[in-house]
Amino acid sequence: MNSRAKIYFFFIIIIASGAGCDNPAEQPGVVKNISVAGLLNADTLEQNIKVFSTSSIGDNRFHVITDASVRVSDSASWTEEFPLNASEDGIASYSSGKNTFSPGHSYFLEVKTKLGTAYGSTRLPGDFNITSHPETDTIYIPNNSFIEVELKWTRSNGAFGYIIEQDNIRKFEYSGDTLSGGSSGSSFTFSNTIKIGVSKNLIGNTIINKTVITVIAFDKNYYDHHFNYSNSAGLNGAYGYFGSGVVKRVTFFIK
Amino acid sequence: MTKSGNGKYFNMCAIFACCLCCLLFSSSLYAQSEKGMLKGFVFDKKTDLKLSNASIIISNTGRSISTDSKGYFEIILPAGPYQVEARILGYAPLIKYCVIRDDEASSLFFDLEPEPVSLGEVSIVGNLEKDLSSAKGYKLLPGELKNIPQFGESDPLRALFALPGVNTINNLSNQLFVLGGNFDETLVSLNNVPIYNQSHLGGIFSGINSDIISNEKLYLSNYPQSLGGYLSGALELSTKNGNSDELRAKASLGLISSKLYLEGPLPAGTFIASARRTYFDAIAKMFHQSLPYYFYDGYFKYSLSIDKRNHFETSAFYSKDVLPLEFHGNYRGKTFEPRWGNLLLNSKWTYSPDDVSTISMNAFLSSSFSKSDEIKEAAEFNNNIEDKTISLEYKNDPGGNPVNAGIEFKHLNINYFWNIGYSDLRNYINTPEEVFYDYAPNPFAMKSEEHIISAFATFDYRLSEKMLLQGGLRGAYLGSLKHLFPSFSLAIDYELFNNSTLNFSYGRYYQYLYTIKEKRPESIYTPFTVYFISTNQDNVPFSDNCLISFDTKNLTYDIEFILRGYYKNRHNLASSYNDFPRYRFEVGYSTGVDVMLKRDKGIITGWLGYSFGKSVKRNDQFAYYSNYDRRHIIKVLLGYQIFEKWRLSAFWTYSTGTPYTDVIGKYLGGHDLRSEYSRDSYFMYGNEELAWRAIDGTKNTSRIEDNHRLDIGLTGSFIWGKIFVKPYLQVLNVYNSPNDIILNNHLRVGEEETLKYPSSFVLPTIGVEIEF
Repeated sequence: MNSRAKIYFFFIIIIASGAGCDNPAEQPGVVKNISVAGLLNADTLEQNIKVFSTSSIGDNRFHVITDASVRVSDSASWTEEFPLNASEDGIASYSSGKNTFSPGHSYFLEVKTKLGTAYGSTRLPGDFNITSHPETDTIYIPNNSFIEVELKWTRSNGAFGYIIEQDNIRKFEYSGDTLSGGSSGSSFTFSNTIKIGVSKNLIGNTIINKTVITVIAFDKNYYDHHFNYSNSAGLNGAYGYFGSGVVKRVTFFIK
Repeated sequence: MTKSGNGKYFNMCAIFACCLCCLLFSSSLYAQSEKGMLKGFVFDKKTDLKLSNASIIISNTGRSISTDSKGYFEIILPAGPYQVEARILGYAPLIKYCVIRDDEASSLFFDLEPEPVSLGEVSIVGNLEKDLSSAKGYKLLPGELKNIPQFGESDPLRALFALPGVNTINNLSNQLFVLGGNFDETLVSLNNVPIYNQSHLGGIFSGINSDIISNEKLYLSNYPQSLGGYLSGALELSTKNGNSDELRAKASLGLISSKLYLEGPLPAGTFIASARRTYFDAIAKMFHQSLPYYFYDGYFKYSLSIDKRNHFETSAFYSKDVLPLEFHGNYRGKTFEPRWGNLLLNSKWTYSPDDVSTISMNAFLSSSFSKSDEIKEAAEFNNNIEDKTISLEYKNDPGGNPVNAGIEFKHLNINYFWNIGYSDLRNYINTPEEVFYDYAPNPFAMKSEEHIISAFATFDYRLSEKMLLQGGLRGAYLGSLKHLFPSFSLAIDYELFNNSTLNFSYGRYYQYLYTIKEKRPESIYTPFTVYFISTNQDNVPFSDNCLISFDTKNLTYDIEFILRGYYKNRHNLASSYNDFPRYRFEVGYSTGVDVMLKRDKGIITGWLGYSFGKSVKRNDQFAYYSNYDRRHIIKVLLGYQIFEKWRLSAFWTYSTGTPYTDVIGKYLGGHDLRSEYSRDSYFMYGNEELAWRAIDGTKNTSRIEDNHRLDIGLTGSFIWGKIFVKPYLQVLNVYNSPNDIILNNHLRVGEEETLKYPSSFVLPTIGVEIEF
C-alpha cells in the first residue's frame, strides 16, 4: 500500500468511526394522557377543576373527561369531593359549591380517570389587605386630567406575585422596581406597590365616578404555568396546573 | 526614497516612456489612416486591487506603456491584431490578444497571479501573504469573494457558506456553524475586535461591508492561542489600508442598497471610509407595500506611518438596523421602532525595534445593542453587550521560527432589560422575548460583568525540512470566578510528497460567553442574541479538539484536493428544555470529514465539497443531535469565464435537514385568574381562558426536510470613459426550493397549525459598481 492509499484508508476509518457513535433517542408517544386546569380561589364560592384528555395535533375538539373522580383534601383528614357539573360555556367541570379553602393552607388534588391518576398540590397565598387607597376613598382629579395613584397592599405570605386590574383591565405600567407584563399577555408584579393612572372616564355623556382596583395574589404553580411556560405545574401524572389565588379589591370614588 | 517618492519616480518614468514612444512611433501613427484605442486595467487576481506601474507591452510593435496609479492604461494603436502582455514584478506575466478596429476603443483586463520572484537572495512577492493552509481553514480575498453568487453584493460572511465545513442553520441566517460547533463558538472579529451580533436583519446582509475588507481568514478549529475564548473557530476580517497616492472612490448602486467607498491620502497618513444604506422601505412603498425596515453602517480608518519603526491606526465602525412597526389595536397609529446594531472603536500602535520583531499595543471597544422605548407599556427593551479590551503583543520572526507572546485585559459588561406587554408585537413574533434567548422570562432584567486577564504565547518551530511544529498556550483568569483556565494547542505539519501536506493538531479551548439559542437560532428572527457570562467555574464550556487534514495542491488538472477529519469532545454546552430544569450544561461531541476538490486556474474554476458531520449532545437520560447537526452536505461552485471580465457563476448546495423537537400532541392549558367585573358590582372569578398548549416530543428527534438551492450570478466589467463599471445580476434559489424551517410550536385554538415556513425564495437582484 503506498503512502497516498494509506492516507485515504485512514480517513475512511475516521468516517466509519464517526458514523458508529451512539445514536440519539427515539421519539416516544405522549406519556401523560390527562390534562388538568385546576384553580383554587379563596374568595369565590364556586371552585372549578377541568379535566381533559390530551389531543392529537390536528384535533381541535375539547375532550372533557366526564367520568373522573376529583377530590381535594387538606393536610389533615378533610376531603372535598368535586362532582361533575355542566357549564354555561359547554365545557363541563368538576365543581365545589362551597368555599372551604383558606388562605395560607395547603391542598392536595387527586384526579382518577380511566387513563390514569394524577396528583397535585398547592398552597394558597396568605391573606392580605389593600392599605391604600382604602375602600370608598375619594380621589379628586381636575377636569380633563389624569393623576397617578400609588396603590399599596400588605404582602401575602407565600404569594409568588400579584396581578393588578383596574376596572377589569390589566395594568402594564411599571415604576421603579415594579415590573409587569407577562409572556402570555397577562401582567403581574413581584412588588406590593404599583402606580396606576386614574382619569375621569365617560360612558356616553355620563361620568363614571368610581374605579375598582383588584389585586390577585397567586402561587408559584400559577406563575410557572402562565408566565414560565411550564406544562405541568403542581401536578404529577398530568399536563396543566393546579394553582391557587387570593383576590382583594377596593372601590374608590373619583371627583 | 519613500514609497510615494518611488511612485512619482515611476510615474515620471512612465510619462517619459510614453512621450518617447509617441515620438518614436508618431510617424507610423500618422502614416496609418485607421487607428483605434486600446485601454484597460491591471488587477491583482487574489485581492482584486488595481496595480499601478504595470508594464503593458504591445508585441510586434515594440511599444509599451505603464498603468497609472489607478491601474489604468490607454494607448492609440493602428488598426489590426495585437498580442498584449502585462507584467509587473511579483506577478506572473499574462498575455492576451486583441483586435484594434478603426475609430473604436477596445478593452483588456489583466488579472495577474501573485508569484514569488527570486532575484538572487531577495524574494519579491506581490500581495502573497503567508497563506493559511486550506486544510485547516480558509483565506478569502476580495477577488475570490466576488465569484460566489450572493444576494446583491459580495458578502464576506455569506461567502464562507459555500465552503465545506462551514454551515448555516438556514438560508436566511449568516451565523457561522463551523465543524460541528454552535454559532456562538466561532469568533467573528474585525481587525481583532469581536462582533457579538454581526447580522443585519436576519443575515441576508452581513454586518460588514465587503468594500473595506482586504482579506478574511477563517480557522475552522484549533485557532492560534493569540485569540481565545471560543470553542470552535475564529474568523478574522482585516480591513484595507488607505491608498497613499491619490483619492479613489467606488460607488455601488443596487436595487435594495447603495454604498460609497473612499480611500486616499491625508496631509499626514491615509484613510478609508465607507457608508452603506438600504432602501427596502422606499422601494416597497413605491409598490404600495409596507416593508419599513432599513439599515445603515459606516466605517472609517486612519493609518499613519510615523516613521520606519512606528505605525499607528485607529478605526470606528457603526451599524444600526431599524424596523419601525405601526401598531393596531390598543396602540393604533403609534409606531414602535426596534433598533439594533454595533459600535466598534479600535486603536493600535505598532513599534518595530528591529527588522524581525514588532511590539503592538491595541485598545478597543465592541458594543452590541438593541433598544426600543417608544411605547413602554407595549414593549420596552434595552440590551447592551460591551467589551473593552487592551492588549500588548510581541512578535519575533528571526527567520522561519516566529514567536508571539502577549497579555490582554478584558472587561465584559452586559446589561439586559425587557418588558414586553400584550401588544401587536406578538403578531410579528409569537413570543417576542425569545428573540433574546430560549424560554426567556418576561419581564427580565440582568446586569453582569467580568474581568478577564489573559496571557498567551505561540511559536513555530521547524523540526526538519519537512516537519513544522506549531504550539500555543493561553491562560485566562476570570476575576469573578477567581479561577485560571489554561488553553493550549499543538500542531504538526508534515510534507509527505511534493506539494502535499499532512497536518495533525490538538487543542483545548475554553469559552466564557455563551448563548442559549436552541429553539430558534435563526437570525432572521433573532437579530440580537444575548450572551451570558459564565458564573460557575464548573459550568465554563470547554472542548478538546482534534483535527487531521491532508492537502495536495496538484492532484490532476491543477485540482487541489483537501481531506479533513475532526473530533471534538465538548463539555458544559448550554441547552434549553421545555420542562424543568429549564437550562442545563451538557456534554457532547462533534465529528466529521470534509472533502474538497478545488480548481482556481483556467476558464472553468470552482470547487466540489462534501461534508459528513455528526454533532451530538447528551443529557442525564439520553443522547440527542444538536440543533445544528447536518449529516451530509454537498456544495458545488462553478465559475465560467464567458469572455473578457465577464463571468457566470453557479452555486448549488444540498444538505440534510437539521433536527428539531416535534410537537407530538396538545392539551388545554390556561384557566386564568382573570376576574370578570360588571358595573353592578357583581364579581365572578374563575373565568376560563383555555388555550391549546403544545406537548413536545423527545428533544431533537425529528428533522426538517433536506435543503437544497441553486444560485446563479453574472458579473462583468467594462470601461466607460476612464470609469470602471461593474454590473452584476444575481438570482438566488433559482428553482424556488422552499427549504422549510420550524419557527415555533405554539398552538392556538381554531388556527391552522402550520409549523413550517419557507426560508428561501427566488431572490433576483441587479446592481452596478462604479470605480473612479
